[in-house]
Amino acid sequence: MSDYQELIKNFERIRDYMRQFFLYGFKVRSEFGEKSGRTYDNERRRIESYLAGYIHADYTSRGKQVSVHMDSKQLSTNPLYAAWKSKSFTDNDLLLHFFLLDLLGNKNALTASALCDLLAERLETVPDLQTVRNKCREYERLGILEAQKNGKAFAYRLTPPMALENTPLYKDLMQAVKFCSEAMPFGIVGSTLLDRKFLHNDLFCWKHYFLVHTLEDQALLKILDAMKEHRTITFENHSVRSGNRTQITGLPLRIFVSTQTGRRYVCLYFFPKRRFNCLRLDCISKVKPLELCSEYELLREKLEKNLAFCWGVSFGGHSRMETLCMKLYIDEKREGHIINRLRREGRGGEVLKVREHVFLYTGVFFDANEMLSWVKSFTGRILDLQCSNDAALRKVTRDLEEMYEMYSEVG
Amino acid sequence: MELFEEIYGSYFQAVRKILLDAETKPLTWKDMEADILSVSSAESALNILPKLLDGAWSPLLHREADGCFSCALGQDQTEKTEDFLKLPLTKLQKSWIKALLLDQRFRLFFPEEALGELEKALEDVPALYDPADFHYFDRYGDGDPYEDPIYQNIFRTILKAMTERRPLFVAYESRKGNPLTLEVLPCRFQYSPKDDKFRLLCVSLSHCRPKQFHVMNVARMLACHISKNPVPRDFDWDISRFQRQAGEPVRIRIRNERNALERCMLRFANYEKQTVYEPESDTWLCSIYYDPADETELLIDLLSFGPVIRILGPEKFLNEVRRRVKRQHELFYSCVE
Repeated sequence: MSDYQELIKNFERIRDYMRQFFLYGFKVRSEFGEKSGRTYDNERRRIESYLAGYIHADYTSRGKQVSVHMDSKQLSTNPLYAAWKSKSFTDNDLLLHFFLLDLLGNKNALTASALCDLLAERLETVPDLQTVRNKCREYERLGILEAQKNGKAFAYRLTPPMALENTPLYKDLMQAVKFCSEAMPFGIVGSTLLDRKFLHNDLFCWKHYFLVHTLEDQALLKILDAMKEHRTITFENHSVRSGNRTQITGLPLRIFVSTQTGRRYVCLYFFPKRRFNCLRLDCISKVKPLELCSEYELLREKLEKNLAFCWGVSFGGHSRMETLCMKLYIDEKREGHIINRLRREGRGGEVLKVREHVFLYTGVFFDANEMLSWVKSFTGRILDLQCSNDAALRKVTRDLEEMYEMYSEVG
Repeated sequence: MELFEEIYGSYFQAVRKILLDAETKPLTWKDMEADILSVSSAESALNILPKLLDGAWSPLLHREADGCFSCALGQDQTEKTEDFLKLPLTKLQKSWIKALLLDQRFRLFFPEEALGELEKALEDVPALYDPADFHYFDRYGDGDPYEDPIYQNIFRTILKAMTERRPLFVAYESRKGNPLTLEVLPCRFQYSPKDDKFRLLCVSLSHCRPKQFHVMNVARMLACHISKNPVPRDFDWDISRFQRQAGEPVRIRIRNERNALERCMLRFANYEKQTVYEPESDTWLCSIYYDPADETELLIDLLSFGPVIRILGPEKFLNEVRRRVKRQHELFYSCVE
């Protein structure tokens, strides 16, 4: 593995491997079919390095099985952020980074050629003028440097710190960042803010924290940028089930998030079909913005009106609206928490007391199929189920029956 | 904007740490290794140290006569600050903070005037995203009342006590609706995006001695204030000692149908688990390790998968599954009182 490097140039390279190791945790070398064995070994070694302490290796008859073991309740910070902090660079990148900060630290504004002269006093091998100029432009783009015209050339200086940074408020801001770096979209940015002050989260811990979805953040950012500008996008969609890769074009309108799995979807409007559809972010890559859409606000309003009828991410089939009624036995005196469950988990469905200890939940949504998992979570107290979608009703009834047979078996 | 930039990388962070420490006092090889390990991996140390000591990055350090290394930077700086190698905030970082200002949970941390100051400081910065672009479709409907001034005050008082490591007096309404007053040591907030709730993990005090571990919903607190009593000597604020795992994991068999494997792996991704494929039956055996406090929640989640998974144990857990499934059959097909 002479070409192995701990750092990587392209994030996409590690994204899929990291996701698979983290989620499945049981795949062996031969099961990563798309890439060579060498690639598998390199990515595995990187992940072992980034997530040291959470990696377990088991040797099975099918080969070495590497898995990631972590309980999100016991973590302060998302260990997968390490992948975002692994971008490769050249020796010049690192030297220029620290020398530029040093040379410009006196609030000096210096041109690229002046910087080159000063670097020549400190370095045996001085980077050429174009390299220094490119680095200055790159840092200007990032907001680290400011450029001012100095004759024909640009002089660069460090962006002055925000006045806020020297106030007690900044300390309070960092407390909030400890929370937001894990709980908000693009938490990785918060993690870099904490790194900047060598801080770590010592105030918060988490429940129902789904760490893996940070890996989709770059694709998400590009989609949100397109949404901000009301643009359609095109991207590659990788179907997990079929393995097929297809090019898809649509207008992104909203990001749907499941707090129960962490999974995120982009809700797109497809013009040819004149329909909304949600696609998983973890299957999306190579997002490119396309043309502006003049009907953006109108379509977004249309989507907003539909949201109350989405149980999850489906906009249904031909029937459009489906009604599900579920009658439950709930002991009011001892099981008030179940009534609360119906109300807080029912997504706007109606909860009625029919008689003592009997409650009726009625929900009207685009796709009753999406509700079936929730219905089964009430196993043991469902008195009656009715649904306008016969197939969905048959499916859930058959499932409950099959469960009865399964758990009635001896042994 | 790109999230994947080398300036945020762990190698840059490790070198900055070394240079700042080497500015204070010359460092040994071991000191530098410890600096790297505090921000990056052991493998990083193997790559960084040779480059810094004898390789391409060595102009950043001076080798002293005693073999230690001092920082070669900062010699010409007239007003050198303690952290002279800290980058200015990048556009990405500023615009992320600006986006946070649109979120009620972030606003909880600050009184109105502080929010005004933050808004003013970032008035020319575009927000990285708009929280309104996100639709949390399965979030529970009884989340915390972030806009309630009483709730905000309670949250900030706890935060202050936690930061200053001081005890708190808390008036609390128990799950059964009974009022309680306790003096507690606030260890950590726990946040659940699914419940959209903050909980306080704390240890109650009795006669100034640690007594019992508690998990309190912040929204159920009626009032709180910081106590003047001292923190018991040698109190360990680390909550990991209170985090429990059931003696035996729940074991399930996952069928290769209806995409059950992927759904299961995603749904239970927040638990520590171990999964093994069994080619003979074309199924997967998965062990889920859990906190006994979450047992009912786990049971309900497992039941929601229906027959594509089969719960195998532990026996007590399995018996509860059997009881519910049997009861369901009776409710559908028999006359049950």
